[in-house]
Amino acid sequence: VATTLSRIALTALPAAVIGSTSGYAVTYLTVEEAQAAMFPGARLEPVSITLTPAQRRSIEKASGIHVRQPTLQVWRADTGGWFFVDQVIGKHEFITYALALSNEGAVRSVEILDYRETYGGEIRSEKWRDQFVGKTETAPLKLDRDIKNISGATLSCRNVTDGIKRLLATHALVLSKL
Amino acid sequence: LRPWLGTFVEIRVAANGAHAERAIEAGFAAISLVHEKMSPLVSASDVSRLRRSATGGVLQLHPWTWEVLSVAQLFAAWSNGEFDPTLSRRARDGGNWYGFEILSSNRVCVRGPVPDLDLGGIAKGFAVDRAVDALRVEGIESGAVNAGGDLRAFGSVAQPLAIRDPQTPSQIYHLGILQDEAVATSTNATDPRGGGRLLRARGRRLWIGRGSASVRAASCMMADALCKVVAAMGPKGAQSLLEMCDASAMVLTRGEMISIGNFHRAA
Repeated sequence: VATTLSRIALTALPAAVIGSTSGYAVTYLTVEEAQAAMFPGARLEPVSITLTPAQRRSIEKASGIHVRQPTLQVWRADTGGWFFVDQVIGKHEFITYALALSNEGAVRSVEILDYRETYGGEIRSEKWRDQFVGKTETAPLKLDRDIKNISGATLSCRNVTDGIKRLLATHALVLSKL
Repeated sequence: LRPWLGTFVEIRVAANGAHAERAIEAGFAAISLVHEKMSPLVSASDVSRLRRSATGGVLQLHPWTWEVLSVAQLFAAWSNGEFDPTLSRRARDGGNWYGFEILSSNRVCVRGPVPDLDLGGIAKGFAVDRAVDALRVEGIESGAVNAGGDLRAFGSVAQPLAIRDPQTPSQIYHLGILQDEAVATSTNATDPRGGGRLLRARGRRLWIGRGSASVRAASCMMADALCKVVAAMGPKGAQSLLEMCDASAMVLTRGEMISIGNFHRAA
């Protein structure tokens, strides 16, 4: 084992600005780009909606997933269907993803918008995201059951999967009745 | 008073020679960059620019500031405003917490004045994480970074974890080891501002009282954000957030030690 080198410094550090080699969270797609890719040719209207405490409880009961905030970022497509933007936590950082649902509430596509790739960007792989296509509110959406886990990215996989399950329940219980 | 990132930062690597020196320089450079972008005491920093911004202003931020602000905003929403980087008087007085609209490509829109915005602890945790990244990029396989108690160990280094009793500082609890993980502690007892950034929304008191809350998580930024949520909401209130982040917590208060999840890990 190599000996340990240790250094302590007060962070009044030299002002040299660094072309840092450490990673950034990357915006792979803006919201507008994701909308154009996921609903080509459609016009999307934002839907302003705040969940009531009763709606939050019913979504939690149906999905088994905690609803952490009452506001939704959701748009309706004039060609039919819904577009969501949602944020979840991965192992080290946060993830912004977009979900497109058909008018009937089946997953059309999933896109990752913002993500930090320091530890591998596996959840961005098309193969992983394509597992969700066609899923509806009645699907189990459980890791290692109907959604494959990615070793080393379990927390990211689980929290994106849980997020999609929560949004599917939100569609079924709230949006489909608008 | 020292600047907020002017705490002691320690970098240890399991290597030596010029290679180790170069890696440590890169680690401190990452911390220095976080300081430059997120300290409210640096007038050109992003945080200072946000503080000065008018309502409705759209600002282009450094990608790191944007990331920390995005996470702060998420934790604020998820904790129902208990974690509040804006220290908003309005929120404390019972108004709505308005915060920011996070736009893509490192931009944000300021929804209301944020003259007291302080990313303090969460930025400190983020700085530790970026220093760890920098060390790894330089080929260091194992080491630890400590910024005033926000601590992360990576690789095979097993860092003993000890936490001081906030009421009886001579009492130290040994809580196993830290390996490939981060820890952060939040306490009210030693904060000269009597609560400081732990001020809880709507004038209610911190759940921990004059005790402390410590959190273990994969990243130091998450550990720091979560320990504030635990301090404000208590172990029960924060439990689902802790579970979502695969984190564990320990609270020392009123002569009790309360653990949530697997906090105490033997070597």
